Amino acid sequence: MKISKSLLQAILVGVTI
Amino acid sequence: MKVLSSLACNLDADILLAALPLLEAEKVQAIEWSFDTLYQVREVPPWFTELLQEFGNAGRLIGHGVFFSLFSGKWSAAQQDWLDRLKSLSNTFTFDHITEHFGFMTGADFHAGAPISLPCTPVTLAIGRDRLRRIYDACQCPVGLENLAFSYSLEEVKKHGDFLLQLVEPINGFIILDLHNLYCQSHNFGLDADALLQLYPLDRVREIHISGGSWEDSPLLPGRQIRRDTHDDAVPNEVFQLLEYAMERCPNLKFVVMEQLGAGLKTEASRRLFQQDFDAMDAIVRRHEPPEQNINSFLPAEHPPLGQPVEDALLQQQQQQLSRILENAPGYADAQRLLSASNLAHTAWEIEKWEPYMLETALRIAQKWKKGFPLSVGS
Repeated sequence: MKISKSLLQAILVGVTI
Repeated sequence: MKVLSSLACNLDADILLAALPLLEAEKVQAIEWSFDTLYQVREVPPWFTELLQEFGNAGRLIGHGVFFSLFSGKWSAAQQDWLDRLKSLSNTFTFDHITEHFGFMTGADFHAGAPISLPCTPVTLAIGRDRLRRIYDACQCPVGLENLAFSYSLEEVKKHGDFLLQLVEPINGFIILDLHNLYCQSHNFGLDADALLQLYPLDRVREIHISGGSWEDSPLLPGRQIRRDTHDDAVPNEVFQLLEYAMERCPNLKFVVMEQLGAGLKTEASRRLFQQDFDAMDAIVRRHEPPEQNINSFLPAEHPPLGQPVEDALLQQQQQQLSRILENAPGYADAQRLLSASNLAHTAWEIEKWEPYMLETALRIAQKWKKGFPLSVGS
């Protein structure tokens, strides 16, 4: 399923820091 | 109906980092969220809420409970809180279905302990059915139960599928067929996995779980190992083979979910293996040719008003005694002696038939989890 790039980026930021 | 390749996705940094390349490549068709594991989280990040809402709005979010303790003999305020929370979450997120584990939790604390099996009797059946009706009342969507990875005796393993069917039938519920759990039972009791699969009501399977686990030595079983459902390693090849075999026999299947705990996803290598396992699962799902449409909606034909929760004082006493013994006995011999003197002796629990190596395994499971699960953020 396609999810937005902004959400993917938010997840990446959230889990990284 | 198309079967959806899905991922167990919780608020856990290691799981999410492992899942991110799969999400980015649009391979994840649905997510399963253990909705009752956020009790330690002060605030859910907005991006996680948005992730759940995106999948929920597409009809691709499923909820998986961990702590409800379906068969507890005494109804508790914590169980009512759990239902109230589920009702509230069901107003926020669109769940396609909700599931829980078979068994009762050993821990005195609501969020600790391990799900433990119990016998099929008129009392346990009445309690299980009552609790499933309450879950449906809270979520208003299909409700299912997962088969356990652990049994005390071969006889119990063979009866498990029929017990599950009797439990879910009144609410037209379904079964999550956990194939790694089936693999554990098959290995630990020397049964052919394909033959064991036939003992389950496969037309009731709406969801399949696959996962990995671990091997454990037992001094009571020289030369053999116990298979444990620890969710901390890659999916064994035997489970992928079982998936191919099972999918052909489950006409109402909608979700195939890969599970792994974040504790097993700390390294780049383990994350790559996780992604490869998902790809292998997805390839099997894509090769599968499902029936034109699913036959069963898994919604109840009627939903009469709920009465008082069903309770049983003797069952509660037996569960408390068993929990205390499993969580505190120093070893198998002590546990067996204490059980023989307990009010489980010479009853439907049939402790006299329990395999010594499985009782020893139950001690390890209960003593490992009596302090609670590592399910919170970044654990």
